[in-house]
Amino acid sequence: MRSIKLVIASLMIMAWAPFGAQAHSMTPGYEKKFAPGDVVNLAYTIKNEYDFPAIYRLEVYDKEGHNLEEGWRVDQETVKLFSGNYKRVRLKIKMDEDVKERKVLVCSVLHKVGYDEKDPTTISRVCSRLWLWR
Amino acid sequence: MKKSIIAGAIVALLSTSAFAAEDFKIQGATDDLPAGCTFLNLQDGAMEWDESTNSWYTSSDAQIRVKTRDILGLSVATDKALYDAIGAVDDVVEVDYSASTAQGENTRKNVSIATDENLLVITTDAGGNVLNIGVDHGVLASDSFVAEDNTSYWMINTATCTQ
Repeated sequence: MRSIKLVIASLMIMAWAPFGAQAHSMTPGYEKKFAPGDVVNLAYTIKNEYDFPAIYRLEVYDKEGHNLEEGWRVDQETVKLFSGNYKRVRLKIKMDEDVKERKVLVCSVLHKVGYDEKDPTTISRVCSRLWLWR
Repeated sequence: MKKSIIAGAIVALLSTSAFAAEDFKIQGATDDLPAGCTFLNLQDGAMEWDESTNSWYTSSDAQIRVKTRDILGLSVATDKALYDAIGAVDDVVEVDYSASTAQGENTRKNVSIATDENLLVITTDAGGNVLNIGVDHGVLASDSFVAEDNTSYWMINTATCTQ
Protein backbone atom coordinates (compact mmCIF):
# COMPACT_ATOMS: atom_id res chain seq x y z
CA MET A 1 0.00 0.00 0.00
CA ARG A 2 2.82 2.33 0.95
CA SER A 3 4.69 1.58 -2.29
CA ILE A 4 1.56 2.34 -4.35
CA LYS A 5 1.31 5.72 -2.63
CA LEU A 6 4.99 6.29 -3.38
CA VAL A 7 4.49 5.50 -7.07
CA ILE A 8 1.48 7.84 -7.28
CA ALA A 9 3.45 10.59 -5.54
CA SER A 10 6.38 10.08 -7.93
CA LEU A 11 4.08 10.25 -10.96
CA MET A 12 2.55 13.49 -9.65
CA ILE A 13 6.00 15.01 -9.17
CA MET A 14 7.02 13.93 -12.70
CA ALA A 15 3.88 15.53 -14.10
CA TRP A 16 4.70 18.86 -12.43
CA ALA A 17 8.45 18.93 -12.79
CA PRO A 18 10.07 20.41 -15.89
CA PHE A 19 11.88 17.84 -17.97
CA GLY A 20 15.41 18.29 -16.72
CA ALA A 21 17.38 21.35 -15.70
CA GLN A 22 17.17 24.21 -18.16
CA ALA A 23 19.81 26.83 -18.41
CA HIS A 24 21.76 29.09 -20.69
CA SER A 25 24.85 30.70 -19.25
CA MET A 26 28.19 32.12 -20.33
CA THR A 27 31.57 32.62 -18.69
CA PRO A 28 33.53 34.71 -17.96
CA GLY A 29 31.40 37.61 -16.76
CA TYR A 30 32.77 41.14 -16.39
CA GLU A 31 36.42 41.54 -17.40
CA LYS A 32 38.82 44.48 -17.50
CA LYS A 33 41.79 43.63 -19.71
CA PHE A 34 45.00 45.35 -20.62
CA ALA A 35 45.24 45.46 -24.42
CA PRO A 36 48.63 46.63 -25.66
CA GLY A 37 48.30 45.31 -29.23
CA ASP A 38 46.00 45.96 -32.21
CA VAL A 39 43.99 42.80 -31.64
CA VAL A 40 42.82 41.22 -28.39
CA ASN A 41 42.21 37.47 -28.24
CA LEU A 42 39.48 36.27 -25.90
CA ALA A 43 37.46 33.12 -25.31
CA TYR A 44 33.93 32.68 -23.96
CA THR A 45 32.27 29.45 -22.90
CA ILE A 46 28.58 29.05 -23.74
CA LYS A 47 26.63 26.36 -21.89
CA ASN A 48 23.32 24.84 -22.97
CA GLU A 49 21.33 23.08 -20.28
CA TYR A 50 17.96 23.48 -21.93
CA ASP A 51 16.46 20.03 -22.35
CA PHE A 52 16.62 20.41 -26.12
CA PRO A 53 19.46 21.11 -28.56
CA ALA A 54 20.03 24.79 -29.17
CA ILE A 55 22.13 26.94 -31.47
CA TYR A 56 23.75 30.09 -30.09
CA ARG A 57 25.67 32.91 -31.67
CA LEU A 58 28.24 35.19 -30.06
CA GLU A 59 27.95 38.89 -30.86
CA VAL A 60 29.58 42.11 -29.73
CA TYR A 61 27.36 45.11 -28.97
CA ASP A 62 27.99 48.66 -27.84
CA LYS A 63 28.09 49.15 -24.06
CA GLU A 64 24.34 49.91 -23.95
CA GLY A 65 23.59 46.64 -25.78
CA HIS A 66 21.59 48.34 -28.52
CA ASN A 67 23.77 48.19 -31.63
CA LEU A 68 26.21 45.67 -33.03
CA GLU A 69 29.80 46.85 -32.90
CA GLU A 70 32.31 46.67 -35.72
CA GLY A 71 35.86 45.35 -35.61
CA TRP A 72 35.43 41.87 -34.14
CA ARG A 73 35.47 38.29 -35.38
CA VAL A 74 34.55 34.90 -33.93
CA ASP A 75 36.01 31.53 -34.93
CA GLN A 76 32.49 30.10 -35.48
CA GLU A 77 29.38 31.97 -36.56
CA THR A 78 27.04 29.73 -34.61
CA VAL A 79 27.51 27.09 -31.92
CA LYS A 80 25.27 24.02 -31.90
CA LEU A 81 25.01 22.48 -28.46
CA PHE A 82 23.14 19.42 -27.33
CA SER A 83 21.49 19.44 -23.93
CA GLY A 84 24.08 19.69 -21.15
CA ASN A 85 26.97 20.58 -23.47
CA TYR A 86 29.22 23.60 -23.54
CA LYS A 87 31.68 25.03 -26.04
CA ARG A 88 34.36 27.68 -26.12
CA VAL A 89 34.13 30.39 -28.76
CA ARG A 90 37.24 32.38 -29.63
CA LEU A 91 36.80 36.10 -30.18
CA LYS A 92 39.19 38.64 -31.70
CA ILE A 93 38.52 42.32 -31.03
CA LYS A 94 40.30 45.14 -32.79
CA MET A 95 41.78 48.05 -30.84
CA ASP A 96 42.53 51.02 -33.09
CA GLU A 97 45.90 52.69 -32.60
CA ASP A 98 44.52 55.97 -31.30
CA VAL A 99 42.02 54.34 -28.93
CA LYS A 100 42.83 54.31 -25.22
CA GLU A 101 39.91 52.11 -24.15
CA ARG A 102 36.99 50.19 -25.59
CA LYS A 103 33.88 49.17 -23.62
CA VAL A 104 31.55 46.61 -25.18
CA LEU A 105 29.08 43.87 -24.33
CA VAL A 106 29.89 40.35 -25.49
CA CYS A 107 26.60 38.46 -25.76
CA SER A 108 25.61 34.86 -26.38
CA VAL A 109 22.19 34.78 -28.02
CA LEU A 110 19.77 31.89 -28.35
CA HIS A 111 19.50 31.52 -32.13
CA LYS A 112 17.63 28.27 -32.93
CA VAL A 113 15.94 25.65 -30.78
CA GLY A 114 15.17 21.95 -31.09
CA TYR A 115 16.22 19.24 -33.53
CA ASP A 116 14.31 21.01 -36.31
CA GLU A 117 16.18 24.26 -35.53
CA LYS A 118 13.18 26.55 -35.17
CA ASP A 119 13.38 30.27 -34.48
CA PRO A 120 12.63 30.89 -30.78
CA THR A 121 9.92 33.41 -29.90
CA THR A 122 11.37 34.03 -26.44
CA ILE A 123 15.10 34.62 -26.72
CA SER A 124 17.64 34.55 -23.90
CA ARG A 125 20.70 36.75 -24.22
CA VAL A 126 23.54 36.62 -21.67
CA CYS A 127 25.92 39.56 -21.97
CA SER A 128 29.32 40.01 -20.32
CA ARG A 129 30.80 43.45 -19.93
CA LEU A 130 34.27 43.84 -21.43
CA TRP A 131 36.54 46.79 -20.79
CA LEU A 132 39.74 46.93 -22.83
CA TRP A 133 42.33 49.55 -21.97
CA ARG A 134 45.94 50.60 -22.54
CA MET B 1 20.89 1.39 49.40
CA LYS B 2 21.18 -0.05 45.93
CA LYS B 3 18.30 2.15 44.73
CA SER B 4 19.85 5.32 46.10
CA ILE B 5 23.16 4.52 44.36
CA ILE B 6 21.38 4.12 41.01
CA ALA B 7 19.37 7.31 41.57
CA GLY B 8 22.57 9.16 42.44
CA ALA B 9 24.26 7.86 39.30
CA ILE B 10 21.36 9.03 37.12
CA VAL B 11 21.40 12.50 38.70
CA ALA B 12 25.18 12.70 38.19
CA LEU B 13 24.83 11.62 34.55
CA LEU B 14 22.08 14.17 33.87
CA SER B 15 23.99 17.00 35.47
CA THR B 16 27.14 16.07 33.53
CA SER B 17 25.12 16.09 30.27
CA ALA B 18 23.69 19.50 31.10
CA PHE B 19 27.12 20.96 31.61
CA ALA B 20 28.41 19.29 28.43
CA ALA B 21 25.66 20.68 26.17
CA GLU B 22 27.06 23.53 24.10
CA ASP B 23 26.05 25.10 20.83
CA PHE B 24 28.44 24.66 17.99
CA LYS B 25 28.39 25.57 14.33
CA ILE B 26 29.96 24.47 11.12
CA GLN B 27 31.14 27.56 9.38
CA GLY B 28 32.07 28.30 5.79
CA ALA B 29 32.87 31.35 3.72
CA THR B 30 32.70 32.02 0.01
CA ASP B 31 35.47 33.46 -2.12
CA ASP B 32 35.03 36.61 -4.17
CA LEU B 33 32.43 35.21 -6.57
CA PRO B 34 31.90 36.64 -10.05
CA ALA B 35 28.68 38.27 -11.21
CA GLY B 36 26.55 35.83 -13.13
CA CYS B 37 23.37 35.25 -15.14
CA THR B 38 21.94 31.82 -15.75
CA PHE B 39 18.65 31.44 -17.58
CA LEU B 40 16.92 28.55 -15.86
CA ASN B 41 13.70 28.47 -17.83
CA LEU B 42 11.97 30.11 -20.77
CA GLN B 43 8.35 29.46 -21.51
CA ASP B 44 6.41 31.08 -24.34
CA GLY B 45 3.16 32.89 -23.58
CA ALA B 46 -0.06 33.32 -25.59
CA MET B 47 -1.97 36.34 -26.87
CA GLU B 48 -5.46 36.91 -28.24
CA TRP B 49 -6.71 39.27 -30.92
CA ASP B 50 -9.29 41.91 -30.09
CA GLU B 51 -10.76 43.15 -33.38
CA SER B 52 -12.70 45.97 -31.70
CA THR B 53 -9.55 47.68 -30.35
CA ASN B 54 -7.15 46.55 -33.09
CA SER B 55 -4.88 45.11 -30.45
CA TRP B 56 -3.50 41.93 -28.90
CA TYR B 57 -3.69 41.18 -25.23
CA THR B 58 -1.73 38.54 -23.34
CA SER B 59 -3.88 35.62 -22.22
CA SER B 60 -0.97 33.67 -20.77
CA ASP B 61 2.28 35.32 -19.61
CA ALA B 62 5.63 34.23 -21.01
CA GLN B 63 7.64 32.94 -18.05
CA ILE B 64 11.34 33.59 -17.54
CA ARG B 65 13.35 32.30 -14.58
CA VAL B 66 16.88 33.64 -14.13
CA LYS B 67 19.50 32.96 -11.48
CA THR B 68 21.49 36.13 -10.88
CA ARG B 69 24.34 37.46 -8.76
CA ASP B 70 25.40 41.12 -8.75
CA ILE B 71 24.11 41.67 -12.25
CA LEU B 72 24.22 45.03 -13.98
CA GLY B 73 20.68 44.65 -15.29
CA LEU B 74 17.95 42.53 -16.78
CA SER B 75 15.63 43.70 -19.53
CA VAL B 76 12.98 42.34 -21.84
CA ALA B 77 12.28 43.94 -25.22
CA THR B 78 10.66 43.30 -28.58
CA ASP B 79 11.64 44.50 -32.03
CA LYS B 80 8.09 45.93 -32.31
CA ALA B 81 7.24 43.59 -35.18
CA LEU B 82 4.37 41.15 -35.47
CA TYR B 83 5.25 37.87 -37.19
CA ASP B 84 3.42 35.08 -38.98
CA ALA B 85 4.82 31.91 -40.56
CA ILE B 86 6.21 33.85 -43.54
CA GLY B 87 7.84 36.70 -41.62
CA ALA B 88 7.14 40.17 -40.20
CA VAL B 89 3.66 41.41 -41.12
CA ASP B 90 3.23 44.59 -39.11
CA ASP B 91 5.29 47.22 -37.34
CA VAL B 92 3.09 47.59 -34.30
CA VAL B 93 2.35 51.02 -32.89
CA GLU B 94 2.76 50.31 -29.21
CA VAL B 95 3.93 47.59 -26.82
CA ASP B 96 2.89 48.07 -23.23
CA TYR B 97 4.71 45.92 -20.66
CA SER B 98 3.08 47.50 -17.61
CA ALA B 99 1.11 44.36 -16.64
CA SER B 100 4.32 42.30 -16.38
CA THR B 101 5.57 41.03 -13.04
CA ALA B 102 8.91 40.22 -11.42
CA GLN B 103 9.48 38.41 -8.15
CA GLY B 104 12.62 37.29 -6.37
CA GLU B 105 12.75 33.91 -4.65
CA ASN B 106 15.09 35.47 -2.09
CA THR B 107 12.60 37.66 -0.24
CA ARG B 108 15.34 39.63 1.53
CA LYS B 109 16.18 41.37 -1.75
CA ASN B 110 14.18 44.12 -3.38
CA VAL B 111 12.98 43.48 -6.90
CA SER B 112 11.17 46.10 -8.90
CA ILE B 113 10.18 46.66 -12.50
CA ALA B 114 10.08 49.74 -14.65
CA THR B 115 8.51 49.92 -18.07
CA ASP B 116 9.54 52.01 -20.98
CA GLU B 117 7.83 52.28 -24.36
CA ASN B 118 9.16 48.96 -25.58
CA LEU B 119 11.10 47.64 -22.65
CA LEU B 120 10.65 46.05 -19.26
CA VAL B 121 13.59 46.51 -16.89
CA ILE B 122 13.99 44.57 -13.69
CA THR B 123 16.14 46.07 -10.98
CA THR B 124 17.33 44.30 -7.87
CA ASP B 125 19.54 45.31 -4.99
CA ALA B 126 23.03 43.81 -4.98
CA GLY B 127 23.53 40.15 -4.29
CA GLY B 128 22.13 36.86 -5.45
CA ASN B 129 18.59 35.98 -6.33
CA VAL B 130 16.44 33.84 -8.57
CA LEU B 131 14.04 36.05 -10.51
CA ASN B 132 10.70 34.91 -11.88
CA ILE B 133 9.43 37.23 -14.59
CA GLY B 134 5.97 37.09 -16.07
CA VAL B 135 6.01 38.92 -19.39
CA ASP B 136 2.63 40.40 -20.22
CA HIS B 137 2.40 42.94 -22.99
CA GLY B 138 -0.45 44.65 -24.74
CA VAL B 139 0.20 45.24 -28.42
CA LEU B 140 -1.52 47.92 -30.47
CA ALA B 141 -1.41 47.05 -34.18
CA SER B 142 -0.97 49.72 -36.84
CA ASP B 143 -4.00 51.08 -38.68
CA SER B 144 -2.95 49.27 -41.84
CA PHE B 145 -2.90 45.83 -40.20
CA VAL B 146 -5.80 43.52 -41.02
CA ALA B 147 -5.77 40.21 -39.19
CA GLU B 148 -6.23 37.12 -41.38
CA ASP B 149 -8.62 34.49 -40.11
CA ASN B 150 -7.25 31.20 -38.71
CA THR B 151 -3.65 32.46 -38.69
CA SER B 152 -0.99 32.27 -36.02
CA TYR B 153 0.81 35.48 -35.11
CA TRP B 154 3.51 36.14 -32.54
CA MET B 155 5.81 38.77 -31.07
CA ILE B 156 9.47 37.95 -30.39
CA ASN B 157 10.74 38.90 -26.91
CA THR B 158 14.42 39.04 -26.03
CA ALA B 159 15.44 38.81 -22.37
CA THR B 160 18.91 40.26 -21.82
CA CYS B 161 20.85 39.69 -18.62
CA THR B 162 24.07 41.70 -18.30
CA GLN B 163 26.74 40.33 -15.98
